[in-house]
Amino acid sequence: MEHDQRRAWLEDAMNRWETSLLRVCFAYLGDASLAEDVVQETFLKAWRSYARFRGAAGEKTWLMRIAVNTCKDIRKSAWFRHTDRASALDALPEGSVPFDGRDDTVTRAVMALPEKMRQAVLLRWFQGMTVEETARALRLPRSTVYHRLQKAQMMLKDELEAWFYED
Amino acid sequence: MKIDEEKLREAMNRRLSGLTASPGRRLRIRQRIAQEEAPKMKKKLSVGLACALALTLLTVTALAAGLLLSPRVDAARIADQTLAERYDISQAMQTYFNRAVQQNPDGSITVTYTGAEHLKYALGEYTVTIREGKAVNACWSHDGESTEGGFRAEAWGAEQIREMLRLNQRDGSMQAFEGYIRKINKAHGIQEDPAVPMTDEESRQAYREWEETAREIKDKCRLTPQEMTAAAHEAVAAVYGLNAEQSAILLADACPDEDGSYKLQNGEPCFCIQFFLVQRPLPGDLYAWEEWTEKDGTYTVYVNVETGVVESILYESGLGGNG
Repeated sequence: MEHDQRRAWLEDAMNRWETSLLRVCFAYLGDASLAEDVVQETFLKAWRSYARFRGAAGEKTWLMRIAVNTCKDIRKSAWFRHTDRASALDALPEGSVPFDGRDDTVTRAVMALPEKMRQAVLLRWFQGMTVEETARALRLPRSTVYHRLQKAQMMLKDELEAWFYED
Repeated sequence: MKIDEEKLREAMNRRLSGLTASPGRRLRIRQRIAQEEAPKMKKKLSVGLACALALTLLTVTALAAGLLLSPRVDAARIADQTLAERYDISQAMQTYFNRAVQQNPDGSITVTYTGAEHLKYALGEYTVTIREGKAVNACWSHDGESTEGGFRAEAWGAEQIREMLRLNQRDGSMQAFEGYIRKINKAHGIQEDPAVPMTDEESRQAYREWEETAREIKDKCRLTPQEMTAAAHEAVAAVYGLNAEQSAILLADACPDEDGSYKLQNGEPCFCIQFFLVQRPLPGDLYAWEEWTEKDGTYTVYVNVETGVVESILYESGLGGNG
């Protein structure tokens, strides 16, 4: 019974979060093939530790945390550090939705942020998670997440002026 | 000043819309889970107990997980579609080709269709590369050459293959176009390889090796032949899009090879099972058709005896005289 439940949960989770995870991992790593691996690994890890997931953190937060940690492990490898990923965005397969130069600019700007700021931006702004959820996913105090988002905002302001509005 | 999060989110989603959910990725996840769940028995357990435990667990897995297909099966299905769309060569027309599926170190899969035996030059070779569940490249060794002029052309495409099938059906042989093939092969210095029969000693040795491999595979078996047959049946119906009626009349038979039903496929220990689909059979012979109907033919399926994963399915319409 529990097995069936777990199986049903996995199918549902893949339906709901696969695309989001894939895009976050790509924007984090700048590598479609590695992002694909991370997504697979994320669902496998979640499957293995399903018994420990009680839903307190929220399913998306939990999966994003696993994915971000897996991305961090990959980034530590010597192989990753010595691979050029500058053209990864250009090499993506064509999507179903047309995009323009502005979409490209903002995506590149986010992907070029320093790693710690990028993590916070991807979860908070790109995925629309709350600061609380982002903090849980990154295992950081909320104040640190705020601080990183502020810094990211400062860095992006010049390049993405049109994307800002008066508070 | 604050950033407009919603605008940013929409822009990034548009830019990254090429990255989407993929059935192939989900299949791989399910397969890895199934493999992790497959019980690893210690040899000290009695064979009976080990089989009983494994069967219980794997039956649950197979039923709950649904169909387990190897990425190669999925890639071959996509390649077949690509061949039909790009070169107008249907699955039934593949009867004149040998299909090979190869996993590459970079994760992509290459599917090649090579003209069978002495047809190799005229039909050439089609190559389809599959990456992340999509065909990223498809080419033919005769791309750019003219196929005009029927059998007088040196490169034979879909038009010639359709005519070959028609003549094959009419005459029951390749005689009507054999002369053209010989001429083309001669012009290109291609000599037909005469079949060299095995000596008695070679046959005995080969048989001993087959037997040994089959025994080793049987020892690894965690599913009954009935369960593997059921999985294979379901896979054929799903991959080849058989309707309920066609699926219901699929006839199962052991693989006709000398080594019986247990053999290695892509290095994996497999149970091999063949299905026949004959929708309008000759009276008194369920295995022969009175008139060929779409999807009729033989489907050879390899099921991994340890994991239940369907490693390969090969369809042969039989229209080229191989039925």
